[in-house]
Amino acid sequence: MGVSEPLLSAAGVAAAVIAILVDGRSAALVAVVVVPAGLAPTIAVTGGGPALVVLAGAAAAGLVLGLAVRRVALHLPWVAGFDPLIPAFAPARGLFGPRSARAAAAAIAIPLASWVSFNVPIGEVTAITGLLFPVAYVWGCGTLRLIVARTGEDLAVGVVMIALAGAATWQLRAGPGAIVGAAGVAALAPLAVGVAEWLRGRHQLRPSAGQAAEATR
Amino acid sequence: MTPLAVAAVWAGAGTAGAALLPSVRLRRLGALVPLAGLAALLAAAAAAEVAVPGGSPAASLSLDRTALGLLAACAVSLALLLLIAPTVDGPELRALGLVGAAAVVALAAGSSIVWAMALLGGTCVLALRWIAMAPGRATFASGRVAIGGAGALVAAAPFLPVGGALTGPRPVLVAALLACGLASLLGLLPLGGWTLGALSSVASADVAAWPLLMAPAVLLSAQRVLTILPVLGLVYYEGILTVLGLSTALWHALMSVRQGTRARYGRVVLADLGLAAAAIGTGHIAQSQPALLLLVLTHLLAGPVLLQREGAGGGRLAWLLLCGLPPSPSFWGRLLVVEALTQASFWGTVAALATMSLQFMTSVRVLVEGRRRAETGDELKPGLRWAIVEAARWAAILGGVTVGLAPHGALMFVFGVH
Repeated sequence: MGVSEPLLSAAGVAAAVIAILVDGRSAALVAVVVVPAGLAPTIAVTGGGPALVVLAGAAAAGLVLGLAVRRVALHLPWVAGFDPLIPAFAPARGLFGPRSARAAAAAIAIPLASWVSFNVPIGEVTAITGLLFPVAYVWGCGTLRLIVARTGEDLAVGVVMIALAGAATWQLRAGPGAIVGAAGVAALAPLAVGVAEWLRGRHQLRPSAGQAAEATR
Repeated sequence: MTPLAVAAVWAGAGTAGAALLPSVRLRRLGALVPLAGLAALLAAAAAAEVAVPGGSPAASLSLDRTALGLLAACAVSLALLLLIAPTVDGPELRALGLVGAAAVVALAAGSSIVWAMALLGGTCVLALRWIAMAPGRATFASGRVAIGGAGALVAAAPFLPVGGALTGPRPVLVAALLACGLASLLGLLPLGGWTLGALSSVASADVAAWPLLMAPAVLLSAQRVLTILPVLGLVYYEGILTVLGLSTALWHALMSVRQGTRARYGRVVLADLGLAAAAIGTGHIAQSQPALLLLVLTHLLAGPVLLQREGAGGGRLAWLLLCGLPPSPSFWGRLLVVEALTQASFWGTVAALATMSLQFMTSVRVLVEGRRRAETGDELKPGLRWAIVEAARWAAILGGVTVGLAPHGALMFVFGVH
């Protein structure tokens, strides 16, 4: 029985939209789980089980590493430093907020990903077209999230999306070393989540630290 | 020693240095981190074949003589910078070691995905360090633009090599992604760029990993990519690099004449990177490779002095290395850029000559201003620290003079290029 390609793509598109719009304390954790889940149907059809293991491993590693690092960092004493949730600069007063800009970016990425999918063949052994749409869309949304980023968490989510899209594309390319190369680039995703959670756990102002900081003023 | 072991030495030395040196109050020995990397590079065997990002297996890493020489020169330059730097905190050594490891892997990778992954990882480390040191719009741009550029390389990697696809959109898309990604990593963005903010607001020991390590590695990679693109892809790749390189070079050369402070040297670096990229964009490898190597070597020698506070006597002398007149090393690099451009584009040659004239004016202006300005008074007093700083400063300057007097010998000795 054939699989509907639009249906496969829909999962990837939904995952990319969630990842580009998600905000707040667990944005990187959400992205590292949602993006592999959205790309999994496409990769399962084209690459089979071993290919799927790479994405599932990246998601699991990101989730476990992120939660473990967060727990450890919160147990350590608070220190002043770069909190990935605080915007690094104040935005200009404009008509649209950051999430509106990201929604617009997600809309812009659709025609770009569509063009790449239907015009650019991929594959080292056999060149194929038409399967790249969800992966290209995730990559496009990741890059655009980086471009409009204002916080460290935005950067981490962007890196997660780019790394996982790169791993998925490398598996669609197939050829020798597909799994090893994909695993290498996918490893950047849990690392990005781990760094974001570590920085948040160490540097986010806690109630006790806030009182201490207030007292020292 | 294999390239993977060399990368491990860089990363291990940086991490160990950041963890141990501050706790034993020996931050000043931070220069040992790049020197450990240098020792590992000297122990590595040079491969006969040049590693270009293509379809090799992910585990195949090999460093050819030119890449080894470039990384060794970067290590010496970083050691000199850390010796001269007024403060070394410790954590910057970790970033330095990790970026060094990424540069080693990037230059040794025969697999396109490993190459892109190394550059993405190195850029992330650098951006994180800069943002953490000086949070703000200027340093945050390094995260947004540079990581985005490295992301473009990750996107291009699965389509490499494109040897089989001679026509159609695939070579065009790959060339555009590669050119834009590499240009972003090199800060080749007309009317600004992400690097200037970091160069002005981050301490010299933190910022040095980009101009003295990452940018040279990316520039050499950009030159090597020429050999894996088909003709149609080359048209776009060379065109994008030439236009971005020349416009960036002209803009920053113009602004460097007008502006003061340490950002002036940053603008001269960017102008020279732009000229080197434009030379690569001509496609004449016989001229562009020695041009970029000589320009990189010039900045590896002048950078340790000029990335520090401006105004000291040694700094004025180091500006002579960048004036573009013989026998300064910058003269030979820029001459080869002009030679490459004359074979490709008349207007490109005119733009390059205008850039070089402005760079000369910048050097003259710095020398004149430096003569008029009174010393700031916070110079080191004679002692062991003073002697080390002076020795490092003069080693860099005299190294530059030697390269200027014997450019062919320097190319052969450092990079093994005849």
